[in-house]
Amino acid sequence: MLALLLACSSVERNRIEPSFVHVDLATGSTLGTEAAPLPFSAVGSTFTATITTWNVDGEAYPFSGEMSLSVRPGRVSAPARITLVDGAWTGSVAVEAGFGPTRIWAADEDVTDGRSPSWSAGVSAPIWFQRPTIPEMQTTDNHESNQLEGEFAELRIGDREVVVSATDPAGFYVSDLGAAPGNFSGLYIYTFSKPPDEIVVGARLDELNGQNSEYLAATQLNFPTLHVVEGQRLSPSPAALITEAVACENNAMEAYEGSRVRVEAPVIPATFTADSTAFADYVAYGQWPLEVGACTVYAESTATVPDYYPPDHAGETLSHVEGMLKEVYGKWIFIVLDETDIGAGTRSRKGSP
Amino acid sequence: MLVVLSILSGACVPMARDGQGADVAGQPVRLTFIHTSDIHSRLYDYDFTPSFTDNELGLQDGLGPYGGLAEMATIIKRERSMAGRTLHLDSGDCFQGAVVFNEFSGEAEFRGLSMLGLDGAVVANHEFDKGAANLATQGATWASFDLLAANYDFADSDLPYATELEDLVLPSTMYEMDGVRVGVIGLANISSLNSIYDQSNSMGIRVIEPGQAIPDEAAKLRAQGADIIVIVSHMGLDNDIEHARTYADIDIILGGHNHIALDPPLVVTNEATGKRIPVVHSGAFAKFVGRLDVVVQDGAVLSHSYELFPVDNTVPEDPDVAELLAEYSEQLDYELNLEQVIGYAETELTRYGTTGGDSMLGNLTAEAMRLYPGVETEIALTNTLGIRSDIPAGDITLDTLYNAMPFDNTITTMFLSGREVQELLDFNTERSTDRGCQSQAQVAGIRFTMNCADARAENILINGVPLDLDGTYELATNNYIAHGGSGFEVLERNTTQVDTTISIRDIVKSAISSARTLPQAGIAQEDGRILPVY
Repeated sequence: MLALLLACSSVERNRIEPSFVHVDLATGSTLGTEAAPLPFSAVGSTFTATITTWNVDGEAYPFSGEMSLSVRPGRVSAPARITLVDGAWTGSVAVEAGFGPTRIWAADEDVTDGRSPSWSAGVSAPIWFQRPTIPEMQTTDNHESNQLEGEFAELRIGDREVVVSATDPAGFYVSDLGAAPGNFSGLYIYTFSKPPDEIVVGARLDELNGQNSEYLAATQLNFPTLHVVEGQRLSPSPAALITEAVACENNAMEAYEGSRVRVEAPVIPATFTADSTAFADYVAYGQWPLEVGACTVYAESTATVPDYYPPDHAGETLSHVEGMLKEVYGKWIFIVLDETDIGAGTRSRKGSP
Repeated sequence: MLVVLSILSGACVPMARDGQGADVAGQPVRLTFIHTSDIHSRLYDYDFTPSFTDNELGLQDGLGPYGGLAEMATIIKRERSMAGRTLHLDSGDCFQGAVVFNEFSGEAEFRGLSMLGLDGAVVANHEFDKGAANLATQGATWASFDLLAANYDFADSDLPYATELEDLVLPSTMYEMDGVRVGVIGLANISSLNSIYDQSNSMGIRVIEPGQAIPDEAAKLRAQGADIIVIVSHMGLDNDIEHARTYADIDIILGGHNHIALDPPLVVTNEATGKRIPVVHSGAFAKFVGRLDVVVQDGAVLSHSYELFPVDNTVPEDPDVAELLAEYSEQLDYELNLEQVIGYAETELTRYGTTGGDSMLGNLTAEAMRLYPGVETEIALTNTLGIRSDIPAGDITLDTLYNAMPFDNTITTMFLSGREVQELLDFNTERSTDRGCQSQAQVAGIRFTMNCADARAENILINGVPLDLDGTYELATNNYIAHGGSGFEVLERNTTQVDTTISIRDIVKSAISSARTLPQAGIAQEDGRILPVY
């Protein structure tokens, strides 16, 4: 076979030292354990680390130069770069948003001093942080981000009451019943295709991990790994009432994202006519406007209540609308689940044609 | 030729000064895995509109053309130069998806990947698209990398090329990475074997269950001194997760088949050992190159990091690979005139509907099938996944059409009873329900509600008239699903089939040429003929 002809078992390469990098955490530091982890912290914890370098023969190597520091998972807030002198560096490393077994990386890479790096890297012993709860992961003052954006998020679920609150054809919603609605307790889980059969409303989860992303500014976990507690059913929280004050404030709405929500007496604007921008958006995306006092939210019902044609109801005040709340860059959308989520409409005498 | 390949490939695993691995006992060692997957013959860069997810993964709008093997080569060589111990593994399906495969049967793909310095690749379902004999020939002639599949057994097959494949495709192999021995096991796709273009699994492959293949190969590799075990897989993400959970010997999974990129990778905890297994998928269609770095110490993967590199027009071509590919593109241009403009798209023509129902390209294709002179059936149905990509706005070239419709499928006609039409659409609805209520078929002459809540087709109209369960309808479909591909058994068992041998790509080309500009009223427009509800 050609592959055999091209085998290159005797190829040499010029070795660049240091061959090995060791990262040791100060003895006596509180590193947590798997059974007793440190609390999850988005603001950071500091650890004292010593970085040393070694050559291919396993001897201490007096390397002097830059190295990069990072943390997996989580973030290193300071310093991101260090300078070793005579094969050693000792200092404080600040770690943010670590969870589970978290390790500090030191790598001979991304150098700025013109030398050829060795690309070697070492990691510390694990620092055990508690996994974040759903609210801890999501609590932020930026409605387009969250604490673990871009991470493979592993959530603290087992000792919480986390329940499936709704399903759709490509995913489902969960809520942490330990946090009141409006406290970042709802979350959408994207499964790409139909969720597993055991994912039904009320099912309790004791494992939930996934790739954390902000899909069009909506927090979601993609491609989850999960486990459902057999035989346990819990009641999801009832819909939380969204007031005008909340509807008008992105960061206030963010706290309800992924949760079941309700508005009372919203109005489908009379201007929702075939020549309006809102109508064009409805045709393109299925979202129709609802005025909540001075602010506008949206509902989406085409696939779940196909017989309801919102343009026919322009100008009506509905008794209520409920749905699962999702964001598209500051546009807040109620995903209607069934016909009971859209209340009866009345048309004011003044607004009637 | 061989010398040239070996020089250009850079495929060699780094070794210590005297050819022996370094003594790494007790030392943390960084290993770098370059990962590619599902290249699908996208050897030449191409235009398309990146999705939001593509954007999030780093593939930005306005930086097309995207993809291309010469561009991937540049990234891979760069990353190899920025790493000490590197292994490039591919998760399969490098065949099928562009005209270069239709014309050269995988030769260009294998030569190109060899030049990239690929170390090993799993054999995936589309590698069989021109038959097992073709795979054996192309592999033996052009692949300088290992072809892997622990769960395919050719030994018992009476297939003429079984012996060649048995020699060519290894269940696993070991790579020495300067003191660290990395055992790599290939896991080939099983579920798609009976639905690949070369129909009815005529390759004679005996499938070995992963529950047998993984432990057996892992034990063999451990006995040979493997420090870690890597699975290079084309089984799809769900299987990869299950394997990571279940099989104690696995340390890393590099997967493919779903055409997804996972950045960051998933981390799955093995139930027996508590090991945390990175499960990596690095996208498809040459859009990305993945790089996984792990720190290994005494046989344990301590931690990992991952980076996904977009392949866009900011990446220069590698001149060596570009020169190789030019040989093929010149022949393609000469024989097919791929750059000929066959029509104009005023907007992007999409293969998926905005609501999950009918789509622009689906409606165009299905209508073209049933209306084509000599076919002229009442209804048409074709599988959505037979259309492989959107057609970007602007001039529509033959090359673009090949990218969208790479399969050499033909139109098959048959008569169905009304009950069979109901069964057919029910099957599509059930199948679509499992896939996010995205219709897995596109139709003409039919309107229906795809009720994913009940997995049933409702309100079926045939050319505006309610379906008569006792009626008879003539259907145009493609020969792939007519033979039961993608599970369309109601078609497979039909005895009235006539394969017209009319190429679907050709009739779509005619439809585009006739229309000149798309979309236009009633042509290549979504019209809600498939209405998803759930």
